Amino acid sequence: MNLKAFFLTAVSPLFWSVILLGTSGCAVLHKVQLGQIDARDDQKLIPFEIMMSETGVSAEEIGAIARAAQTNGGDNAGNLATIIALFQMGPQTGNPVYSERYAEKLIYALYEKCPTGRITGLMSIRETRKYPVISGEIVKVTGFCRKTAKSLNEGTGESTGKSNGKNGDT
Amino acid sequence: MRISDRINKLRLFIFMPILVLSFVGCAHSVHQAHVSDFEPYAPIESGEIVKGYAEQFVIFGFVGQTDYVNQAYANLMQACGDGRITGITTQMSTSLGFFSWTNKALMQGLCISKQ
Amino acid sequence: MYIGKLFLSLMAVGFFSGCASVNSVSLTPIPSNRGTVVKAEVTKTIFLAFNFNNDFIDDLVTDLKRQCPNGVVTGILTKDETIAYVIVFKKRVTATGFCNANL
Repeated sequence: MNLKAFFLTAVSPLFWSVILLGTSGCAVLHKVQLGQIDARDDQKLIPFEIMMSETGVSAEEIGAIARAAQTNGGDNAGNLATIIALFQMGPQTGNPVYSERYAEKLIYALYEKCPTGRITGLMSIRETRKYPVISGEIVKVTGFCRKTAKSLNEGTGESTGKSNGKNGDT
Repeated sequence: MRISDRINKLRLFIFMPILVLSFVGCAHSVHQAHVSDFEPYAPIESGEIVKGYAEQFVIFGFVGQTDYVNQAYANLMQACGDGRITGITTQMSTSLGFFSWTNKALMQGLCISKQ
Repeated sequence: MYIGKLFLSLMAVGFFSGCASVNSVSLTPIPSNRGTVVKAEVTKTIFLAFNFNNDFIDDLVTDLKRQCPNGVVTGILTKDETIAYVIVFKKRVTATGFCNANL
């Protein structure tokens, strides 16, 4: 076996592992809060999930990667990233995003999922899906829509199951 | 050109636009989005969505109180007169800045009038 | 010289007034009758981040219940905040709500 073939064989699994890890992202849980659960058996509980997200960018990571290039351009980009970080001071949860309004329509999304408003067992989650440099800043809400057997048979309104919010998942 | 130089150029080509975007845009951080219980159960048509919002400007982190949260709470109740408010979403966020930032509290819920 | 004095002044302001920040906020459905306000607050001072339990929070519910016997407390705004004084932290959790005999 020549050196090149050996190198390729040895490196390939590692390469694909890195690709796999890089694309799946690390999940960071910031907050989770639960509400009351109305599990009385007079109605059926239909689960739903709402996910709203925005792309976060880490100026620090950009700077570190740019500096790793060890060129003049890389250093300049690294310095620029440091300056940007100065303009992003304040308490942070996850990476900074460029729109704070991505979760503002949450209440409308809830009524869209359950128009009767018979919502229970709510779990509000704030999490980050972290990738190199960027991240998905996610607000996720899961819960149950209470439906009578009659409305289930008639198929009135309420959408069920998994779906993303207006902004979609990152 | 060496391969490493090409990789370095490629890196800059990818990250420079993100850097420029970072520089021109205002950055924010959403800390939490909480949803209260829906009590009483009511469809959206039975009331109207009301909002309570307040913010606090902070320099260097020197601020001795967090009354803006109570202010948002008061604003929400004021928007609903003598009705009940259900399904309240509470969003806490910060607009980041240069040695200063703005903390924000936004509360929204369904206001159901008494009659 | 001037910058030094400014820095010292800022440090003094920080030391005596503290820097307050919110950790989390939650709110429960608000009733129409908001006549009787109930409020409970618990605090804990933590020196150099040496904190071995969070039992101080338990008194919050007990206090609210005591203020609203035989009633229902709704519209509860719970605010968890930290006030930092250089090497000492104060954890403060406040709950404000409304007491009603029935809903």
